[in-house]
Amino acid sequence: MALATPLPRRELEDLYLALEKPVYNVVYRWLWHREEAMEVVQEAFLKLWQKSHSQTIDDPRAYLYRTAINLAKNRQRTLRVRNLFATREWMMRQGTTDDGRSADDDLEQRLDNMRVHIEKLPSKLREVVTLSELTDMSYADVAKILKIKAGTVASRRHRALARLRKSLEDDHA
Amino acid sequence: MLDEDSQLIFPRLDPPAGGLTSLRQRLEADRSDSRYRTAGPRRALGAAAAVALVVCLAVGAQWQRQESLANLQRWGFIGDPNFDIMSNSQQPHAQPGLSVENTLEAAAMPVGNTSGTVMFYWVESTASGDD
Repeated sequence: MALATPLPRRELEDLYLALEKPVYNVVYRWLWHREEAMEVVQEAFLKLWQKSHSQTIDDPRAYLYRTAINLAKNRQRTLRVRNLFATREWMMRQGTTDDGRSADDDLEQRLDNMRVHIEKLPSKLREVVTLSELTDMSYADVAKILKIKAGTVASRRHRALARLRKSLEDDHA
Repeated sequence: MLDEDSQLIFPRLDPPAGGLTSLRQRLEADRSDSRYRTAGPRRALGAAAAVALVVCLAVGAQWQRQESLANLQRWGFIGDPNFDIMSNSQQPHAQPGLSVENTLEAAAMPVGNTSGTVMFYWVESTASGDD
């Protein structure tokens, strides 16, 4: 879908309504922090808007996911540095864990458990598995975003799931 | 296991409320940014600067060429039948026996000095047999 330059405000808002949740979910699996993930989602949409003022963006969705993942990776590095200087105890006094979540929620607990396994995945596998599991996109769509072949998406997804399965089984054993 | 329980492994979270409102505020703040108001003039200025640069380079090259010709004229090489032109192998336009003017035309570049990529050797080809 080729867009006129600049991207009309209305189209951007429609895109936001359609993609906010899946983009947020993908980004969250890189940052594990709700506010930071939301910040990255907003920044990605803003970058899309700004970019559309200088050039035509053929596939806004692909651009958006690509930008969001890159921003999340950058933010992840920043957070790691920040966490070096923050103690978990201090964070708990603020009512959150060191990643900004409530510690009592079952869902949060499940996310926390999965985080260990997902973070073991190499970046390339993690990109594929989060995009394919959390966005309802086809292999072809994911391939377009990551600029790889659809067959590579399939094989990386297969490998990622196999590693996750093994990691979970080892954990339960 | 994962295929069937994907929702368990990858539960889909709801983003915090108010995302669209927040985005609208950011867009408004961004729109008031001067970069968009001045994008047109800045582009025009950039294009004008690029054209001016090209013109300056062309005028400079032409001036240098004229200077070279003037020097050759002053040194008495042009029009003197006792001088021939030879060149090193890196300058394909210069051939033994070709006149200075024709060589300059063919090369379409300033020549006449011994620095840089273009280097000519002026050889007296008189009946004395000197080379």
